[in-house]
Amino acid sequence: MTDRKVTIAFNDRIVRQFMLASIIWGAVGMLVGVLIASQLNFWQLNFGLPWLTFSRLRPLHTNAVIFALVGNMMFAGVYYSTQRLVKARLASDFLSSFHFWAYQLIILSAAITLPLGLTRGKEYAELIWPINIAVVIVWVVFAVNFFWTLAKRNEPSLYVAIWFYIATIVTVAMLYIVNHLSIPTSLLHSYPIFGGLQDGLVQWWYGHNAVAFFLTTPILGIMYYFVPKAAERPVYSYRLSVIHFWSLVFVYIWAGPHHLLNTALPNWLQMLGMTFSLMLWAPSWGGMLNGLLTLRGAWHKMRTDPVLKFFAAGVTFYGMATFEGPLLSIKSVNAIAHYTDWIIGHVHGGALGWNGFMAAGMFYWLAPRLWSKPLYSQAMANLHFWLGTVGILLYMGAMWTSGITQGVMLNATTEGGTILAYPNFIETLKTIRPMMLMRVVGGALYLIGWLLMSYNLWKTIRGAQTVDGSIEVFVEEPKAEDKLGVGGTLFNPPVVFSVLGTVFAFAWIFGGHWLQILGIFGTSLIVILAFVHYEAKSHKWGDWYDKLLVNSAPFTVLTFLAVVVGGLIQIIPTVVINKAASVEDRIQRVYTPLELAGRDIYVREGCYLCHSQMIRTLKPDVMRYGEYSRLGESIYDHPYQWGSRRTGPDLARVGGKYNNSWHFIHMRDPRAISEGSNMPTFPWLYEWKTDVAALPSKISVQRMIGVPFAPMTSAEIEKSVKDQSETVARDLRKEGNFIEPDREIVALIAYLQQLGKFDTVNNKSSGKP
Amino acid sequence: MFKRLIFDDWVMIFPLVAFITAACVYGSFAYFGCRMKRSQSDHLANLPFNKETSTPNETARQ
Repeated sequence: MTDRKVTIAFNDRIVRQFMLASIIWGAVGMLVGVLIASQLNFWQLNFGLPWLTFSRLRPLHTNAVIFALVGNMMFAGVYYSTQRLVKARLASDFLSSFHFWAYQLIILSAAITLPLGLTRGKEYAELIWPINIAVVIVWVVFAVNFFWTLAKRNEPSLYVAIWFYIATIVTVAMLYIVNHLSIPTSLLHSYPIFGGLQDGLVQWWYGHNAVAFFLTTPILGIMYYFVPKAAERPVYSYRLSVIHFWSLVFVYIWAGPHHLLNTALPNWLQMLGMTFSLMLWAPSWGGMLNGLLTLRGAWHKMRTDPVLKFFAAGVTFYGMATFEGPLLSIKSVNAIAHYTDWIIGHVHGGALGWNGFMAAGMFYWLAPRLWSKPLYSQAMANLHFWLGTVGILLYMGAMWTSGITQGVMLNATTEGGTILAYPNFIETLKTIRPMMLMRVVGGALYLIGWLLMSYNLWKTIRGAQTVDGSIEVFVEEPKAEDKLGVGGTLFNPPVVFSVLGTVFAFAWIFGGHWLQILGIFGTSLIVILAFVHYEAKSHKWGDWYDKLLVNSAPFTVLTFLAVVVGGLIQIIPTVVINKAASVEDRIQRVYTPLELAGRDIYVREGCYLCHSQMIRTLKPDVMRYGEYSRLGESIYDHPYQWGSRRTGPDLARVGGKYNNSWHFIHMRDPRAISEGSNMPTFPWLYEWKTDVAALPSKISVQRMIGVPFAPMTSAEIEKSVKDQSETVARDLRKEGNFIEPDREIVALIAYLQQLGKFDTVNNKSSGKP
Repeated sequence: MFKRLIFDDWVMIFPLVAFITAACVYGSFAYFGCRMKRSQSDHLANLPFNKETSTPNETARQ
């Protein structure tokens, strides 16, 4: 068969669409960010309106930045670079367009539902179940379009950027589906199937790896394509890029538990998370240095070229964030940093510095090429760079200072460690107020820079002719000897030895007496055999690896296996063993119907975004909030509410600490109780009626997912709610606080007063509410 | 916290086994990455530099 010469025209229209969407949604996400940062300083900016309240807007901010800004930017970069790297037009124009418009619809749905309080109550996974299904469909469309394009490719080799994209697609699909497994109670509400500790672990396995495989690996792929293009020289070390890829994929997936250090999470999981987080230092810095050294010999261009400025700074921020991440994963450092603004500063170093700057660099590089017109103003782009840089530094500096200050104050003791130095939480909040204000300034500067870029690009593309790239290629027939079918992928020395070794290792770890001995013997034998075989037939191992690099399907399967093993090792033991039946010591009391209704209000209003429900195994935590939280004390919580930030104090044992009137007044006017508080007011809770009609369906689903609610008819549920709410309302009336018993504030108070109540396992209640 | 059948000190072996497993896999791939031939490495590193032309959008589609 002779080779044919053909011209491939790329689909760059889809790149332009995703790029513009990213710029627009990015501005929206940052604007909301500046607003909520201002609300933390000036509570009046909540305006007493439910849909403008901090705790409802904060998920909008995070979702907009992660999924709208970075998501759209990622799709633009992936589609642009993939077509060129594999020398093929995107497989389907229809799928490309469907991907774009369906994704924008999802973002729009999120922008509407989140301020309305429709949420699943899990960070970065707040969207309600119908939107979750839409996200999965869109992701599948993206995957089909991408892999179909790879199948049509005219370049046999897969550049390392494509590897990063493959890892992104398979891993995000796995993470998203597992963490969003829920049972609907209505069209707009569901409960996650995991509860308590299980839910916490799955959530942070997802949350951490969303950072890894949504905010990092695709952007690294973009870095490996666009930085060499902008610098006009190949990547510094292709070999290092290969090592960077495999090490990130193998290590990242294990590190999620570092978000739950010093909590009720079993210690072996905490150690696992910490160990792998520390291992991440090496590959992350290898990748950063590879990116920066690609600019060797091109540093002088940075004086004038804003694209290179953004890329160099972006990669540097990647290095800073990936240095700081493992540092924060050390248990003793985490004891100070967790629940404070230090974590917020760390996250924004990555989001603004790495994601935002890489996006800006890519947009400035793409716009003149996709619209065939020079950039409107280089000076304006340079101004954007400096505004952004100063903004990030102010932001991160403020958050570091705030976080360390508050962490140290909250942990400080006096009188030989017997008394808290700052017993009143509000003291620590007042101390960090100036830093919180500085954050608004930093964020606003960054937003102004982004708006400048929007204007600059608007002036660039206005009236310009859109152009699509094309390339002439010689279409070669694939060589039969390069193909690696299913048999070739799986039945070869490296995979066979790895699988057998893993099976025997598991028998060793989990097996009983004889199985354990067999496991030790088998593992040792496999290691020796593998070594001998490699010594004798090393070319077979090498040939298999070389073929893998030009066969995308087997490569994808093995990448998936690499990430799935890391997840299973953490999640399976937790899901199988850490359940109510196995709990010792203390177990959570099952909620009454009214308390469950109150809990759903708590989740809807996003209280978990400022209040944790997890007293860590640290002395200052115990001195401040009471006994450390046992694992069984939140075992029935779907979703778990351990939280990740303490803008306000922990609530794990707030039940019974104050009387009902205290909560009644506090929710209406926090400053009447706690002078200097920045908590929003919640006046609508005194007007809206508790949704009792939804409770039978909710309780039915709770029973389905393993919460031991006693069987109750709708009438019984209604009566239970009526009796308990009248009791609460009567108690409130005694102190002059008049409220109808059917109002939401009554249900919320009932829930708050139940927090921290438990049964001892030996004297376990029947489960009746 | 849990009944003793569940987790005791022996589970500390998990981080160790996980570390060794990941380190072995990582080491293997690092080795294969390093032994990549110079010509292959150069070819792959130059993939982003294909020469392409730009055509106005209306005529670009095949």
